[in-house]
Amino acid sequence: MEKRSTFNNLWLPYLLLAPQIIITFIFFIWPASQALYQSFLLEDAFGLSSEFIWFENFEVLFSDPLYFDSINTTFIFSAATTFLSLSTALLFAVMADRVIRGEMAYKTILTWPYAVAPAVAGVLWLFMFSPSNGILALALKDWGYDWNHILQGGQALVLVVIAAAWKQIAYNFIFFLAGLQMIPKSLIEAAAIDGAGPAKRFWTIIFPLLSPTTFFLIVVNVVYAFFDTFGIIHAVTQGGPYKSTEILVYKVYNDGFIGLDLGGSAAQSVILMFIVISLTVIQFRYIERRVKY
Amino acid sequence: MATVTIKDAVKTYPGNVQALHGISIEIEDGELIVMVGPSGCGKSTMLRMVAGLETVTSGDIHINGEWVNKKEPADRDIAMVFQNYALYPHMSVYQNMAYGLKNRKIPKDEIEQRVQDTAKILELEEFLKRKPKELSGGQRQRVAMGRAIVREPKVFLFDEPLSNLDAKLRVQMRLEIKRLQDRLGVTTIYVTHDQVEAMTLGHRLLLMNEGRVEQIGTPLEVYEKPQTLFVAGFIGSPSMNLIPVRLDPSGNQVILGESLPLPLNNFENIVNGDSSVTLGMRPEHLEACETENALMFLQVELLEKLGADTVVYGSLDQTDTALTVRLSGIHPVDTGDRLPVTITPEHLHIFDSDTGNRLN
Repeated sequence: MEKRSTFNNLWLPYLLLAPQIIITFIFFIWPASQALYQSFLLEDAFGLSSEFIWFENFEVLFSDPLYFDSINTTFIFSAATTFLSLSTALLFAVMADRVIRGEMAYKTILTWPYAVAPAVAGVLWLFMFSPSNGILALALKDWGYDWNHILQGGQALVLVVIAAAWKQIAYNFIFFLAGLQMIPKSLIEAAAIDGAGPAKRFWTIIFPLLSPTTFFLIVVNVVYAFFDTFGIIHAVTQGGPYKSTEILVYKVYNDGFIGLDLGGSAAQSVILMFIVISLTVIQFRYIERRVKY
Repeated sequence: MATVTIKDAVKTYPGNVQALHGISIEIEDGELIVMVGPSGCGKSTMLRMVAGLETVTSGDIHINGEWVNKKEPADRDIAMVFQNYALYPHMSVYQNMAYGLKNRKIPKDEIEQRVQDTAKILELEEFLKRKPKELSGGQRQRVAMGRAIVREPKVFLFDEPLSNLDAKLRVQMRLEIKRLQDRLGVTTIYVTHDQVEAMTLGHRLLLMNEGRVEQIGTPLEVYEKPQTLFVAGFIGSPSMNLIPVRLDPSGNQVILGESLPLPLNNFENIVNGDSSVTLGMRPEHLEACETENALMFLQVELLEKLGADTVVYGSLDQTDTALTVRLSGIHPVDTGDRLPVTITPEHLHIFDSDTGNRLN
């Protein structure tokens, strides 16, 4: 039996695919090729003319220590955000998995942060950690810890990590909870009979069985930290103090729209594009095949 | 080696749903007890209470004289084989079997030795490095048993271990379990809904229905003297003919339907208020006979010729009471025939129609 459906009409398949193709073209292929083209151009200071300079934008970029600082910041930021949001979400999911009464309410409440816009999430944490009157900043001061993320680069990074991770916890929580509920209860019971305490059961049975979910979420969260946290950073620190929270995406914006170095900014976009492509390739080739049990 | 004593075990779920209404049994050392009953009768719940996977609402469970109601499953020294095997999918067969030993801090070389020995018993040696998903159903089943055996527990608990296997494998594994239990002599509780498994495996059966014990006894006791209507209908295939009759006050005949008397004469001692009872006759105890010796006549409606037996379905002459007769071998009977049948009195079972209890 023929498994594929075949079309006799030559145009029908293209017509059916058209909406998807048009959207991909307008919102991805076209701007991406524009960025690629622009990354080879050098604009004059007034934006009146441009010159084709081949790879000079990239050469400048790779000899700029600030760019490597930004790469470094991005890696620290995304690793910390991913770890914080995944571990918290896993903890919540394990707890929620045990809840018998009021499960729906608990799940619903835990899901809400995901519906909060990034900038709003950022502002929320900004208020709480505001050095002059933020509730958490004041509490820290009472404890003898001087919180001032406006001056301290490290603290600023911690703040954006918390804000970014908080927003992602809900998403991770749902996946972890679903993953936990997929694990047959009898496996846990068998392990209990086999003499494994709750902690041992978690690390030797549950955690390994969750690994497909965990790897999927790591990729999703890294991509999120790389590309979707602009709003949070823009609302909280604007990349400061002194570029200590300037991740790659924020640098694209800063150099392009504030510094008006359109060519250099486009070159950075192109590099980011390759990072996304390679992360996707990793997800499809490595993770989806290898992480099975 | 251990005894298991269950006394008045009651299980009530939230919302006042009572799953068990007081189960009591004393299981001897080395005995294989089969808990059998239809789905939802509470047999698995009872087993899980012994395992410590369900709390005991009231009553006591002792393993080897020790009160275990509040003990963690790990501290009861039991091993359980689950219906879906519950093998750890990310571990090899070896790791699956070694897991329980590792958790008990047994030295590595002893673990190695015990796993190898167990693998040998179960013919699993060549699969030790494989993951569960690379095994067939029967092999997985053996790994699940291996995981239980290797621990050398006091009690084995089996929760419908064969119901995921195909018919042929089920028979084979049934024999294997029996052989293993004979050889190891470990006290075993085996839960199943399959009466053939129950009859072939159990030293004694515990028949359950709706959270109550119907009867405890050896397979033959249960077959020969079912204590309740439920047991009578549950054990035996095809199942026992159960016919509502009236007991004649003289005590030497029962009256079937409106006025069909069956001259049966060993019921002198039966005292029953309204004299409405249920007569039980196993299909294999009814025999075809000469017309003049016939106790009743069967209007043959349907035949199943199985070679070894011929199962005859029909209704009693002049009534619409359905009756099944199992004749041994190939019998020259045909649809539409009027088959004269008889039965020896010792094969008759009489039950109180209201309480379901055995009367003779």
